[in-house]
Amino acid sequence: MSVRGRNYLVCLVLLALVVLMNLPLPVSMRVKATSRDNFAPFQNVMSLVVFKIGEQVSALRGLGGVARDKRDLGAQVARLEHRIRQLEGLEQENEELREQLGFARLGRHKLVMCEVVGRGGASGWWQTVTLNTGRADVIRPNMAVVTKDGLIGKTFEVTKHTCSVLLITDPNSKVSCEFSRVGACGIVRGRGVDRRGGKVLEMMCAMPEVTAAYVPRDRKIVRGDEVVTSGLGGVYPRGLPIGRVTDARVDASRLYQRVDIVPSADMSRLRYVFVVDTETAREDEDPPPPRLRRASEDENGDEQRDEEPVG
Amino acid sequence: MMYMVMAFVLVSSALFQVTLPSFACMGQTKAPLLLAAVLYYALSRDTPTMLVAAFAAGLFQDVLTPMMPLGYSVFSFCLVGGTVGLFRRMVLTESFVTSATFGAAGGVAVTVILYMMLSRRGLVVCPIGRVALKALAVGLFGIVCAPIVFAFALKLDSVVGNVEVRESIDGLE
Repeated sequence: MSVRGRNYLVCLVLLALVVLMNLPLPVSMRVKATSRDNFAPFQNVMSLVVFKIGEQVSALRGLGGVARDKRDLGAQVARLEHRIRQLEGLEQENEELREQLGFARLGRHKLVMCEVVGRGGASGWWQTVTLNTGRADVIRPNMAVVTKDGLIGKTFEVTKHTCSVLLITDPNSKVSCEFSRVGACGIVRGRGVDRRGGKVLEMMCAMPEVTAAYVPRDRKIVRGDEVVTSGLGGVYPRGLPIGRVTDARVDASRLYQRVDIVPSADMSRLRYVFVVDTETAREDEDPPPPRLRRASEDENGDEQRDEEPVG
Repeated sequence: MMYMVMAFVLVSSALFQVTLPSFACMGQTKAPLLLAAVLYYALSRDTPTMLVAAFAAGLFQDVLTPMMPLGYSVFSFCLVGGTVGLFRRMVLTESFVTSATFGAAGGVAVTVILYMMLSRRGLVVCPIGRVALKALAVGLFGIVCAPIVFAFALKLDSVVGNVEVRESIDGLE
C-alpha cells in the first residue's frame, strides 16, 4: 500500500471512531443489535461446547460423592412427596376460598424458557447474562427473569435473537422488595462481585449477596426471613422470591435498616432461566368475572398489570 | 489474505472471550483475547493495519458487552495499540517475553482507560480497590493469553504465507 493510501486508511479509521462514539442512541442500539444477532449462532455453539466441557470436568470431580448424593436425593424425594400432599390440600382449600370471594384465577403468567449463552459480556464490567431468545420470542425490555428458585434479574438490550439480563447482584440493579413475615418494604441493590467465591470459576461456585436499603427501622427483621418482590414499579410481578435475610442493622442515617440478603437463585449456576411474560398471560386467561373487571376499570381506566404472583 | 486471517483471529478471539467463564476472585475479569490480537498486529504490522484490527476488535467487544457504549473499547484499543506500536522496531514479536510483557501492560492500561471513561459517565459503580483487582487480573490473564494469541495468529499468518518464519540457532527468530 502506498504512503498516501496508508494515510487515507488511518484518517478513515479515526473518522469512523469519532462517528461511532457520537452515534445517536437508537442508531447505536441498532448497530449493537444487528451485530449481536449475527454473533448469536456462533455464540450458541461455543456456549454449548464450553458447557459440555464444564460438565465433564464436574463429573470427574464429583465421582466420589455420587453415592452420598443418591442417598441425599432419596431423602429429599421423600420430604418433597410429603410436602406435595400437604400443598394439594392447601390448593384445594385456596380454590374454595377464591370461589367464595368471587376472585378470578389470577397469576398464571406465561414463562418463556431461555438458555444462558454468555456471562458478563466480553469485558466483565457488569453482572449480566446473555440469553438465546429475543424479540422473535416475544421478549421485551424490562421483563422479570427467574429460575425455579427465584428472581435473577430483568431483561434489557433485546435484539431479535438474543437479550441481556441485568442480574440483581449488579450494583445498577434496583428491585422493590417486601419482607414476607413483617410486611416491610425496601429496595434491593446488588453489591457487585463477592470475592468469597474462592478460587473457583464464577459459573461454578460464587454466590454474591445483595442488600436491601430503606427498610423501616421499626420492623423487626431476623435472619432467615423471606424476601419477595413487592410488585411496585411495574417491572417485577409481586411475590417472586428474592432471597433470605442473613443480617440486618441500622444504616448510617439511623432512619432505616440495611439488610443483607442471600439470593434464592444460585447466580453461579445459571443455565436455563425463565422470562416472565405478564402481557401474554392476560390474553390467555379466562376473562375475570364482571364484578372484578368493573372495579379495576373504574380505578385505573385500564386493566391492572404486573401485580399478580407467578403461577 | 492478511485481512481474512485478521478477521478469523478476531472473530474466534471474540467468541472465546465472551464464552469463557471468568474468576469471581479476580474481579470477574474476562481473558483479554481481543486485546492480545490487537497487540499482535501492533507489534508485527504497520500502523494502518493495527488501527483496522483495533477498530474491529473494539467494535466486537463493545457490541458483545451489554451496557457498553459503542466506541469505548475501540478508543482504548486504538490508544493502547498505537502506544505499543511505537516499540515495534525495538522488540522481538515472536518472543514469549515480549508478548507476555505487552499483554500484561496493555491489559492494565485498557482496564484503567475503560474505567475512567465508564465511571465518568456513571455506568460503573466500582470502588478503586476492585478496579485495582480487575487491572491486576487482566494483567495476569494478559501474561497467559497474549503468547497464545500471538502464537496462533503467527501460525495462521505463516500457513497462508503472510509472513515468512525464519529459524535461527538460538530459536528467537
